[in-house]
Formats: sequence, C-alpha cells, structure tokens
Amino acid sequence: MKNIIKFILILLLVGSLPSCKKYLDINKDPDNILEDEVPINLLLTNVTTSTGFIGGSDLFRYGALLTQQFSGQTTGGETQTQAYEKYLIQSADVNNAWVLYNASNLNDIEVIIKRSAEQGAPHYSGVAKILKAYTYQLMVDAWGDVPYSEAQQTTANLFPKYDKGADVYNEIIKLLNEGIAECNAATSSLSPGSNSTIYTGTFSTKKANWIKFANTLKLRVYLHYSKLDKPFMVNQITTLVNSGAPFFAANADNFEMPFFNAANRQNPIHQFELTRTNYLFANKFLVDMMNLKLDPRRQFYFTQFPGGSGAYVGAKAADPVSQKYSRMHVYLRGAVVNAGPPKADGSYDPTGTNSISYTGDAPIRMFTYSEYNFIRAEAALNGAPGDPQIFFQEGIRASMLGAGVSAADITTYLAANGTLAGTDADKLKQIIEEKYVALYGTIEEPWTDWRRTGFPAIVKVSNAVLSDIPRSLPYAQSEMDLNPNAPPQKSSILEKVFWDK
Amino acid sequence: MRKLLILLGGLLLFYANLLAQSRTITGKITDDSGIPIPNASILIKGSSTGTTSDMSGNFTLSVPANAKTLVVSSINYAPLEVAISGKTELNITLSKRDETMTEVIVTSFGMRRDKKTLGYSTPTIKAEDLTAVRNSNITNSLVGKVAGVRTQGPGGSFTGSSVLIRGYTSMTGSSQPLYVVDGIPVDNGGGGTALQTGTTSSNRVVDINPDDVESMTVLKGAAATALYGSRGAGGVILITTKKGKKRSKASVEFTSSYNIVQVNRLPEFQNEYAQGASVAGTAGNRNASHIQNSSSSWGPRINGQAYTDNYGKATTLQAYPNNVSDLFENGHGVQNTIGFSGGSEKTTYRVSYGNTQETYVLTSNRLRRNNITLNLNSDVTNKLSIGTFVNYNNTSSTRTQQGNQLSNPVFRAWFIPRSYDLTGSPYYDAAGNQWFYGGEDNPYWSIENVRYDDEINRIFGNLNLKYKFTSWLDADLKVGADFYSFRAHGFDEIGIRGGGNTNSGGGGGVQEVRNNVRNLNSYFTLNATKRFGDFGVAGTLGNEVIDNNSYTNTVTGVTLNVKGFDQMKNATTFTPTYGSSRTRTIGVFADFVLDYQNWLSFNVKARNDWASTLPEANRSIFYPAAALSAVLTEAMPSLKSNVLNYLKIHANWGKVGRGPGPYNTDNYAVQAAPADGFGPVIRYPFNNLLGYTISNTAGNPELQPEFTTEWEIGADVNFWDNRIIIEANYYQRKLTEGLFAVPYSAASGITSVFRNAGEIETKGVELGLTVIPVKLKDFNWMVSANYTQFKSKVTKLATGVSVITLAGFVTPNIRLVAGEEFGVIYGNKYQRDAQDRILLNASGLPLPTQDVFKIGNPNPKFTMGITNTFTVKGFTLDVLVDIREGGDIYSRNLADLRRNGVVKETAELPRLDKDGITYLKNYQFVGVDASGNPVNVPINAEQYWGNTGKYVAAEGFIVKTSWVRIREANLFYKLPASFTDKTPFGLIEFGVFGRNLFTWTPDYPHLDPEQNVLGSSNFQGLEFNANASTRTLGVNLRITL
Repeated sequence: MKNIIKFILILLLVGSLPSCKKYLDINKDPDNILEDEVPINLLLTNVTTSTGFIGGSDLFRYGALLTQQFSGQTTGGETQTQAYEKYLIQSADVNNAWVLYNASNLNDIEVIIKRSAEQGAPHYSGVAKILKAYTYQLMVDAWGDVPYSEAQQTTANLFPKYDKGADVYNEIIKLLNEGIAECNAATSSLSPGSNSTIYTGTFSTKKANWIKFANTLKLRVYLHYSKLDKPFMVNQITTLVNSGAPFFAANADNFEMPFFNAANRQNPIHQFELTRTNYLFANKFLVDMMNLKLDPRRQFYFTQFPGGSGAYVGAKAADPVSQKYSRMHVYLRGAVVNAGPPKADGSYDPTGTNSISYTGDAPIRMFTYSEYNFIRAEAALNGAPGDPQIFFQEGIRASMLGAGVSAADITTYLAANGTLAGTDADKLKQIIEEKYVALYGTIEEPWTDWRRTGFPAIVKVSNAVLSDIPRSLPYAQSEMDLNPNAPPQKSSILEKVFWDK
Repeated sequence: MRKLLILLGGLLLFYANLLAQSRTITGKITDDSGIPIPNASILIKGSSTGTTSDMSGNFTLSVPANAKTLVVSSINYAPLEVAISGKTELNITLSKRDETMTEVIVTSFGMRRDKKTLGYSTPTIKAEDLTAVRNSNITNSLVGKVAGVRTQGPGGSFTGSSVLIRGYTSMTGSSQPLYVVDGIPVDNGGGGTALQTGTTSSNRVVDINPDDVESMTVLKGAAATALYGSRGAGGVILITTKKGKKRSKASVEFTSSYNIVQVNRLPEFQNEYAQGASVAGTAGNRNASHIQNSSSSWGPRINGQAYTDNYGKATTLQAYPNNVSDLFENGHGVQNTIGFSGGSEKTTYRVSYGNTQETYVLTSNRLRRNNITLNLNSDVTNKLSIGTFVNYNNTSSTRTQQGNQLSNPVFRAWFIPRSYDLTGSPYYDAAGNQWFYGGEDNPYWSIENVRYDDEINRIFGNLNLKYKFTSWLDADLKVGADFYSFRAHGFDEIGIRGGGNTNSGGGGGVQEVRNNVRNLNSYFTLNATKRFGDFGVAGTLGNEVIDNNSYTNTVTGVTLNVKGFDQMKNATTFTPTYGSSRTRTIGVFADFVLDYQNWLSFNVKARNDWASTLPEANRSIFYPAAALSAVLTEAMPSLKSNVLNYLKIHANWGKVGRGPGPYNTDNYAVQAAPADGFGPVIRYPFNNLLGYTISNTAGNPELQPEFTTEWEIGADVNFWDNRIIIEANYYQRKLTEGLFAVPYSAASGITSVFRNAGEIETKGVELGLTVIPVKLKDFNWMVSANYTQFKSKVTKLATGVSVITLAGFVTPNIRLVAGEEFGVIYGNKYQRDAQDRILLNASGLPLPTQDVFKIGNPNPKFTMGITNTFTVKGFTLDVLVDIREGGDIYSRNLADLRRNGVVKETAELPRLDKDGITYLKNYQFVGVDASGNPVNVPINAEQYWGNTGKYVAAEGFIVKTSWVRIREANLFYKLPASFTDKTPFGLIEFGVFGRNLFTWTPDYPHLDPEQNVLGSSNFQGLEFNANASTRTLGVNLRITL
C-alpha cells in the first residue's frame, strides 16, 4: 500500500519534474529561420525580385487595362480582366497587391534598414531606402493617401494611420537623398552584390546605377506635380538638373528586373498569359495608334492577326467572344522558342499547338532610359533645361532600340513622327503619346500620364460601370475591415490622388 | 491456500449433489406477452447443473432435494431467480432486460462506468449498425445516427464526412473530434481540399476497416471529454475493436459485400437549343448564333442544320441528350473481411484480414485497402493481464482533380453545350496534343493525362498491461503508437490547361509527396472501486504522455520534356519543400465518482496539461468538470409505474480545450514566393539565389489554449414497458480565448498575429426517441429517431476586427462576423433602392453591388435521423431517413447550368422566333431605375439567365439545401438456428442495402446539395464545380463457422 501511495505522488508530480521542462522545450521551428537570425542579403534578394514581380502583377494589369493598352477577353463567363476593363475594380480585388506591397516588401525593407544600421551596412540601407521610395511612389499614385509614418511597426502599431499623399511624396524625396548618401558611404560591413536581382553585380560598380535610378526617380516624382503645381515641377527639375545629379544615360541603366527561361522564374506578364489563357489581348486603341504610324515596334509588341499576314488587330471592351486579335509578343514574353501555325481563323492560342511559345525571360521594365527622356522633354517644354525635341527623339530611339528595332526603321519612323510641332499642347500630346507607346509593359506610369495630361485621349469604354475613367484604386477591403484608422472607403474610384487635382 | 479451500469446497458440493435425492421439475418460460422463450438457460443456483428450454419454451430438469432456487436467463432478458421449494411445475415470465439499468460504458482511458451513474450522455453505435450499409469510410456511418452530431459529406469519391459535435469549437481551425481506437488516439489528418489545385483527399480514419469495429461511442460534451484536456474540445469518438471472447470456441467470421455506385442525380437538360451565343442581328435584333468555341448553349434552335465541326468534318447540328451522363459510369465496391477469433479461460484472440476496393463514377478514381489486425489478451496471472491490438493497413487510391480549376473533369462537363458530342469527339489532335474547343482541359483528356495516386502504409495499435492489486484496485498501462508513411504522386501532361497537381502553366509537371507521421502515446491509470454501505466510490488517477512527430517532403518538378514520361527526371525546374512538426504533451488527470444507493451519483474530473506548443509561462493548463445524476424512479419507487418505468435526470458542467499548433510563439523568416492571385509566382532558388521574407504572421509569446466551457442538463425517461424511450439534453457551450490568426492591416507590416481572441456561443438541444409501436411474436417494429439542433454564434472577434474571411473568393466567401452564426456566406448582391427594390439599368438588367454582404447561412436549422426497423421472423428491414432543414449554399454548378443555358428552365419559355435564330424577349426582371420608376424592359432568355442577368451577383445562386433522403436502407435475413444447427455454420446472414436511395430537395434542383468545395472542413456553404454525389446499392453476406 505504501508503494502505491508513493507511485501516485510521483504521477502527480510528473508535471513539475525538472526534466519535464526540457522535454517540452521543442517549440522552435526547425524548418524556418528565426526573424532575428535571417541574413539581410536573403531578404534583399526577395525585395528586389518581388519589386520586379509586382511590376508585372495586379497594378500593372489595372493600369494597362484602364489606359487601353490591353483588353480583357473570355471564352466563357466574364473574366476579371473584362471586369477591370469596364472599371469594375472592387476593394477586395486590391487586397493581394496591398499585402504584397506592405506586409512583404515594405516590411522586409524596414527590417533591412533597421538591421543594416545595427550591422554598419549603409550600402544595404541605401538600396533599401531607394526601393522604399519607389514602392511608395507606386502606392501614392495608385491609392492617394497611404499609411507611412506609422506603417511597418508590426505589433507595436497594428492600426497605422494614413498620411496625405503629398506628405508621403515629400518623404520619398528625403528617402532618395538618404539612400544616395548611404550608397555613397565609404565603408559598409556588407554590400549588395550578386544577391540583388536588380543591378546585379559588384556594388562599387553598381552603386552608380542605384544613384542614377534614385535621381531619375526624383525627376518622375517632380513631373507628377505638373497638374497640381507646374512652377514647382519646373523649379525642382531645373534645380536637380543643374545640380549635376547623374541620371539614366543609356538603356543599360534601365531600372528593370531580369527573368529566366524556367517555370516559376519567368516574366510575370508572360506567366499570366500562360495561366490565364485568353484573358488579355492587345487593345484596339494602342494597336490602331501604332498601325496609323506603321510603328516598327508592333512586330515585337504584338502577334500578327491573322497569323502571318503582317497585320495587327486589337480588341476592345464589350467585343463579342472571340480570340481573333493580336496577342502580346516577344517584347513582354521573351524570344520565340517555337512558332506553331495559327488556327484556321488566323488566331493564335496562348499555349498549345496553335501558339507561339516563348522563353518567358523578357525583363519587367519599371523605369526606362526612354521614359527619362520623355520626362526631360516634357519638363523642357515647360521651361526646364534642355531641348524638348532632342529628348523626344532620344526617348523614341531608346524605346525602339530596347524593343529590337533596326537603325534603318528607327530613322524612317523618326523622319515621319520625330518632330514636335504645333502649340505646346500639341507638343505635349505628341510627347505623351509616344511615351504611352514606349511604356508598353510599364506599371502604372501611362495611367499617371493620362491622369496628369489627359493624353493619350482615351475614351470611356462602352460598357463602363462608372461615369468616367477611374483615377485611383479603391482602398483594400482588408483595410476597411481591419484598420479603424483607415479613411472611409472612397465614394468611387473616380476620386483623384493629390497631384491630379 | 484459498485456492485449495475453494477446490475442497467444490469437491464437497459435488459429493453432496451425488448423495442428495433428486426430483423432476417441469416448466414453461415465456415473455411478458406470453410468447415462449426458446433456448433460455435454467441453472440450479450455486451449481453448474442445468438445462435449456425447447422451442416452445418448455423444460424439464432433475433437481436435488436440497436445491432451493433456479436461475433463469436468456439473451435480451433480465435474469430471474425462481424459488422451487415444494414445486414441480413452474410458469416463469422473463422481462426484457432493461438496457439502461445495467449497461457498462467505457468512458475515457478505458474506464468502465455504469451508465446509470453517468451524468452525461454517451451514445454508442454497435457494429451491426455500422456495417449493415457498407461504407469504406467509417465517418460516413455516423450520418443521421447520433443526436447532437451533425455530419455532412463533401461529395466526390471516398471522402469522409465532416463530423461536428455540438457546434463549432474553433474559430478558424478544425472542430473535428478526436478519434481514439482502444484508448489510443489515431491521426485523422487529410480530408481537406485545395480550392484551385489538386484532388480531394480522404480523412485518415478511412484506414480503419469498419468490420474490425465492435462499437463507436461518442463523447459529446465538455463534462464527457474533460479528461482529454487540450484535445477534448471537438468531442471524442471512441472506437472499440472486436476482440475474442473468453471460453469461446474458435470461430471464423466471414463478411462480404458488393455494391454498385451510381450518380445520385443528373441535371434535367434542355435539348432544343445549340451551342452558341447571341450576336447582333438585323434591325437591332439579337440573333442566336452557333459558335463552336462558345461554352454556352444560347445558340439557334437545333433542327439538323449542316455545319463543319471543330475537327473540319461536315456534320449536322443535333442535340446529345446524354453527353453529360455518358461521362459517368457505374462504380463498384467490394469489401471482404475474414476474422478468426476465440478464447480459452485465460487468453482471447482475434485476427482479421480485410480487403476493400471501391471505384467511383468517374473512371480512374479507385480506392484499395488491405487491413490486417490482431487482438490478443491474456491473463498471465490472476492479477496481471496483458493485451495488444495491432492494425496494419495499406491503402492506396487514384483520383481525378477536383475544385474550381480547369483540370477538374467536371469543371465544364456539367454544362457542356447541348449540341456538343463530348463522348464522341476526339480529344487529341493529329500530333497527339490535347484538342478541345474551350480553354479548359477536355474532361476525357484530363482523366487520362492529369493523374494522381497515393499510398499509405500504416501501423497503429497498443500494448496494454493491467494489474489487479486487490478486488477494488487495479492499474492499467497502455502504450500506443500510430505510424504511417504516405506517398502521393501527381502527373500533369504537357499541354495541360488547368492547375492540375503542379500548376505548371501548360508545361506539365510531376509531384512527389512524402509524409511521415509518428505519434506515440501512453497512459497509466489507477482505478479503485469500492462500496461503503450505501455509498459507492469509483476513482481513477492517471497520466498521459503524448509525443507527435511528422514531416512532409514535397518535390514539384515542372516543364516536362518528353510527353507521357511520368518521371521526376523528366522535369526541368524543381521546387522542393520540407516541413516538420513536433509536439509533446504531458497530462495528469483524476476522475472520482461517488454514488448513493446506486441512484444518486456525483462525478468530478480534472486534468492538467503541460503542452510544448505553449510558451513556458502558460504551459500548465487545468481542465475541470463535474456531473450529477439521479435515477428518480429508484430514489422514489412510488414514481415507478406501468407507465413510467425509468426516469433519470442529469446535469453537468465542464471545461475542455484545444492547444495551439506548434511554432506559433516566435517570429520567423520564411522562404518567399511572391505571387498574385492569378497563378504567376516566383519561386526560389531564383537564378541560384535564395529569397527570404519575414513571415506575414507574427508569433505570439503569450498564447494559451482555447477553452470550451459547457453546461448541460438532460433526462432519460422510459414509458410503457420501456417501449418508449426518450433521451433529451439541452446544453450551452462557450468557446473563450478562441485561437486564430487575428488579421490586421497589412500596412502594419504583418497580416496577422496568432492570438486568443474570439468567442463562440452554442446553444443546442438534442433528442433521442425510441418507440416500439408493434411488438408481436413474429413482428417487431421499432422507430428510433434523433434530433439535432444547435446554433453556434460568433459573439466576439478580436478588438478592432469586425470580420474574418475564412475561405473562398472575392465573392462569394465564408466569413466569421461578430454577432452572426458561424461561417456565414458573403457575396455581392443585386443593387437595391431604399425600399429594397432591385435596381435595373436601362437595358432592364440588374446591377451587382461593389461590396459584399451577408447572403446566406450555411448552418441548417436542424437535422434529424429516423430509423425504422421492422423484424419479421428472420428478416430485418432498417430504413434511415435523414432530414435536414435549412442551410444555404452558393452553388456554382447551378449557376453554370443556368447561365450557360443548358438546363430545362432556361428553355421554359420559347427563346427564339420561328426562324430559329431571332431572340424573343419573353423575360423581364422586376425592378426600378435610379429614380424609382418601374423598368419595363423585356429581355431575352440569355440576358435573363446569362452572365449579365441573374449571374451578376452571388446572391442569385444562394440555395437552401434542405433535404429528406433515404440515407440508408437494408434488408437482411438471418437463417434460423434450426437450419444452421444442421450445418457447420454458426450464423448465416445475408442482405441487400442501399445508400442515398431517394433524395428530395425542395429548393435545390438538378444536383445533390450535399457538397462542399472545401472538403470536410469547418467551412461549409460553397459549392464550386463539385463532383457527382453518389448512390450505392449492394448485397452483403455474413457467415460464422
């Protein structure tokens, strides 16, 4: 009996035995890295890659559909691209992009900035701040007011307030200045090198690219004030140009992200074409504009319709179910691997026997040397330094070279279309229309240009669910549900961002 | 020494018998209604001398002069002692055994308790009710049988049922119960479905052979499951396996069944209009045009028009009324089990081999299972006994894709255009590539070329030592294990258009999955039972140690080079993933019952857990429970009458929990994979680089388990000779500190933090009713019904969080909303004005709202199962009627059938003019314009049913799932003993059975509403391109030797 009691006692005490603590201390995930132990170079790799991915993802599609570079299509029920094209972009549609920008990219950037300060690695911090500035530029242009000052504090502030878009724009310039200074730091315990998927390579050489990008991005940001405060725009650009800041000087300086010919490593616009077959076709508006000028970039931008005919046909919103249109081509999808015959009706499938297959390794072009020239042309037209005509032609030439157009074709095209003429408004129209064609495949900026200048003169689609063409995106539904400090949802996506007023 | 005395005593008695003078007694044994009872045993009390009654209930027995009492007993009757002094002729009446009076229930951890002293209900399903209608998955056998348990199958092939006991006990996790086989938990993973890729898996209880199960006991409330501590919240299903019986001769039991599997329901189609859509016609008319790559059937009237088909062949337009049904075939199921069992004085054994094979109505879906089990129990000494149970099984399956993806063979098949010859059309082109007019995978091509198979090798079982210290104290040690290795292989052919297994974007892919699970479990209990006068005491002290360990290794290779070469080495890009999990729990528990005069009993229980998944400071968690019950008919015998036979009331209170999963207490950086919702994704290594990102879910160092606290009151009443038995319970339970990944604004840098935040309140009633309306000599009719009603309401989410989206799409989706029932359906609605009138645009068409609103509640008001059992001589007929009232579902299949114009109602009114192509405007939506004026714009059938009409808002396809169905029916015949006695067989039984024989769904046309795209999860109410539900018809046979 005594033994039994003793056993019961042991049984009851089992929970407090010293070995018990050790037995239960197994709650560290062996398959992931604790946040505090992850090397920042692994974080930066994903920040640059993800930035490139975003360049061909949701916000790219919204902008490209709203500005009629692409058109949604279907084989059955209405596809999301058709819904977006008729301006049915719902708050829940932008959840994914919102999360990718904020919780993935910006949060990782914040960790890099914090950790590189601890580790004495200003080069990492510099690159991270430049990428942060770029990301906020995209976000302000899309949403208007966004959380900035209280954002990315994780559990310390779960309900960040929203900052005015104009204030965030000021912060963007500050970030770029800090980023440039830190990239120029003489010493850094660690420097981005081959682990950055944008401007990959030894940092001592590549830091020049980051700095050029930061300065050119300032030009883009200043240009966006053209409608709100033109003198400010001209002033800022003039000052920046006169400061001798280095800008993009060739296509090799493009802020773009290379992709590879391997599944799940390919250009995301190309991937969308593979996974969402028949969702996107070239838009009639863009195709007609280029047809009119016999633009030599068409052969790189679009597939022919009918296949082999040398002609290009675009789709538009509310067209009946059909695939008899031109599709995106090598400029966005990489080199042709195998060109199958078109179907009897002259159309191509996006995959399969009657399709053209591609390597998928086209880069995502987020900010090109060509765009830089168009910015300078527009600024110069308004009084900033330089000759608009020279920048205008250089913008077209850079775009054509980037697409693979031959020198002879460029000369022909410039001879016919390369001269700015008429009033300033006419010239602006010419600049923005050429910029619109040159920025085929670039996230958001053509939409921003249209909002600023009204060019190119796109017309509301026939099946629009709104009274006009959208001028911003709805706040994410997740913000409406989860952030009491978010502003009330916009009355409609016709609401304008601050520089659009 | 004592043994010697007993032996001597026995010898003395033996001699006494020999010496005594004897006399002869004759008698007749009947039941209450005078019907003779054959084969009753008549024993002289205190001896082994006796006889049995004959077929007329008569017996003759020679008894010694000193014998005073006979003990008469028979199966199903209460034993009776009859005084015989001075009598030579006896008329003995036996009463039906009062099951409720003597039933011993195995509660937690092998504890045996008299049911009468239990303060909570413990419904048990016996073997014959589990296997009369064959199911390869034992969870399906629970459907409609237990009050308080709501079960629903997800449809499709070999999948199990979602089992929900007394409501939802977890915010976002599973509320499924814990399955315990002979005291040791078994893993029941699987059963989920990915919405847009892959197949539906079977929940792992499918590995249990139903023929090895003796009974299943359902522990429902917190007071019943408190001893399972942090695993008890969802209820516990105790499975007891079949064992050999002591002192029984060796016997062989053979059961065999065969059944066919058919599609339960097929849509009613129109066969008048062809594939196609509307095009602009003359004079502003819309014309129906035969468009050969249209997925709809809004084309011209079919009347033999000539055309050149997609394959360049000249042909004429015609309807193919069977183009959907021809895709399906009859499936088959075969189940065989042979069991050998027996027992000596000290040792019992049972060994069985079971073999199951089942196919589904879509070709290439197949499940195979082989089970070998061994049960051994032996008394080593008078005090020590050992036992073991081992199950080994090998289960394999092949499956086709499911869910909302283009590779699901029925993604399009349900609404294939009426004039498209699906079965007769080629699906390869001359080059051997897939050919199909649409952007989806051709169903036949998908079945052949998008393949999935899996195999599991699993061993579970236990080793058991029992030691009896004294007559009132024993100890029980059980060590159990559940090991399995699961392998799955998926293949997507080059040219695949849907997601398939690998999301290869058309390049084809191969996937290999290896999942290893090793769960160890041991418990030790000390059990004491003793009576002190009027008081009885039963107590148990125990501890339990759990160590669960698993890993999953997946390699996905995409972009294949050689067509048809189903090998990882054929892929050019690889993504390996690896995940593992290890959890440990130590628990100590105690259970104490005090009863007074066997009618009043009080039970307290408590468990304390220390779990590895909790932060060290919160590691110790206490779970108490108490229960009180009183058998009033015994406390106050005056209550007892011919009308009221038995009345027991009980009340209880308890608290159970569910611990968090592992690794939720820290922040981690995880391998990144930037993706949008449309398929594009970047995977690492990318150009030989790794990319990590800080997890969007932050860890929480303050976690604790979630708790479910419950009180329950109930009564058991028997009336009129126990011919009416009622069991009623009312309960309220509340989940507090509900664990979930509380979502936060992504602008904070994270999207969620795992927290204890939510609350769910459930109120429920459960009723069990057994009535025996007819009880005659040769005919017996019994009705047993159960009624389940509960409502789980989300009363609190985290501060600042008004809604959690659990699963689904932008619209519709399933959400938790404070103040609403669990898991309501949200989606866009039709725009309405202030007076709730539908707004129509100038074309007379409805407009969808931009935002989503609550559009449905998937929770039924009540469910009911009614089993009628008729017994006529050796025949028994059981019919289980399953009733469900309410419960909404968003049916994408229904939406597709209508918007594509394939079902009957879309052709109810003539669509086209006499010319067969000009649309008639026979339809109109009722609504107003923005200024409130009625819009009277007639529209055509396509506008009404098609993409721009009803389909624009998810609200239009919310349908009630209410049903009445003959869920199970079986008729079996047992050959009379008079016949089997002449054969070597002990028992011969054969029967026919059916499942889902009849389904009546007043609100849900065309298909079976018992569907859920999210599998056997908590999240019900969405149906997307569901596979066919089935009906089975079969025969079975049971023979013992």
